[in-house]
Amino acid sequence: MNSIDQVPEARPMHSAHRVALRREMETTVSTSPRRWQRSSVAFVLTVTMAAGGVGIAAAAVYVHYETVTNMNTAHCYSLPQLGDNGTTIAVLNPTTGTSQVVDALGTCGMLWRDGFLSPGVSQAVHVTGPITVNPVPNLVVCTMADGTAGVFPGTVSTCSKLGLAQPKPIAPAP
Amino acid sequence: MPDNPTDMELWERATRHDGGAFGQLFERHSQAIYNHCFRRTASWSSAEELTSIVWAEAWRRRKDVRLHSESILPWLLAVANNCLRNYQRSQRRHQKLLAKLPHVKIDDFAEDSVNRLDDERRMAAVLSVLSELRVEDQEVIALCDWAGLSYAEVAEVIGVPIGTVRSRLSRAHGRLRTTLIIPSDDNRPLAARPLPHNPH
Repeated sequence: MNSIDQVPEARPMHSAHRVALRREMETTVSTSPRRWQRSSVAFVLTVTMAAGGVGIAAAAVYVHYETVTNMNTAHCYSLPQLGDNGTTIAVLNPTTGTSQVVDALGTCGMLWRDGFLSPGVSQAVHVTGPITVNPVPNLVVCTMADGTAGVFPGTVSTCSKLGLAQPKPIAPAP
Repeated sequence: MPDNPTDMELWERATRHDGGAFGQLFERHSQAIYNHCFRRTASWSSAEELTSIVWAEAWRRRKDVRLHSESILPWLLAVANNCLRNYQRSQRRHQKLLAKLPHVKIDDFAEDSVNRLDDERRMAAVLSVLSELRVEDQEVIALCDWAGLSYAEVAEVIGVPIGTVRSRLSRAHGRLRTTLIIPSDDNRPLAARPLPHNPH
């Protein structure tokens, strides 16, 4: 006859496994990207619908700084272009409505890395298979006219070429 | 910083990527998770693997944490139950982590390997008896009687009112008493009993 009180008493984990697991988890926690989790972010890929023929403003030759004021949305571009050139824009919407774009660069980099954005792709990219690791181009952040952050593949001069300001550097906390 | 921070304080720090805070939570609760997983599988090696998966899942699902009590253990055990139900899928999801960890066999527990083998045999027999109960009744036995959680904490783990926990436990005990088992004299929950000395 069995009894549930015959359940074996508690035992500790093997120390080698416990130590290795703790180390792995501490590393994971310390080094995981400070960004939204994929599961908590609904992102919508849309194609710009502006009328054709809208050119890009002549590139400014000076560096202009503007503060990113809208922290709830970021735009990830697949080309260093604005207008109707098939630029794909990813608009990030936190599902909770409380998250902020604290790391637009990191978040857009994640979309590149996971294949949601590809160079020059002019439409929404639907990734249905397993997530693969893809090359991430050099990305720069610009301040868009509506105060959001726009992340483009490009160089340090990309913002000024697009007629956009660079984000104003944030003073470190005292 | 307090000498003995609460689980909530540690979890709050962990979500801000403080690996040390996560490590403290790990030390506090790993053994409870490990033994809970053993009692549900009757296998120490599966319990070891599941414990790893539970912590990885806990971190992956960190935004879902809603602490209703001082302890994060009920939430961790809820994660554990989910991992137990979806063991294979959980293994696949966390295979990179599992590949990095030493795979421990019973033989590696040199001094108590015989005892651990005996544990597995006894636990399998107990689970065989328990399988006569409804699944939800088995769950409350494992959480109340074996893990030593309060009714409120069990209610939190399985997501039902406290009254439902009481009635399930009462039904399970009644069935075990009358048809399946002979209860022993020791009524203490297992969690309250001393841990045997282990050289590790």
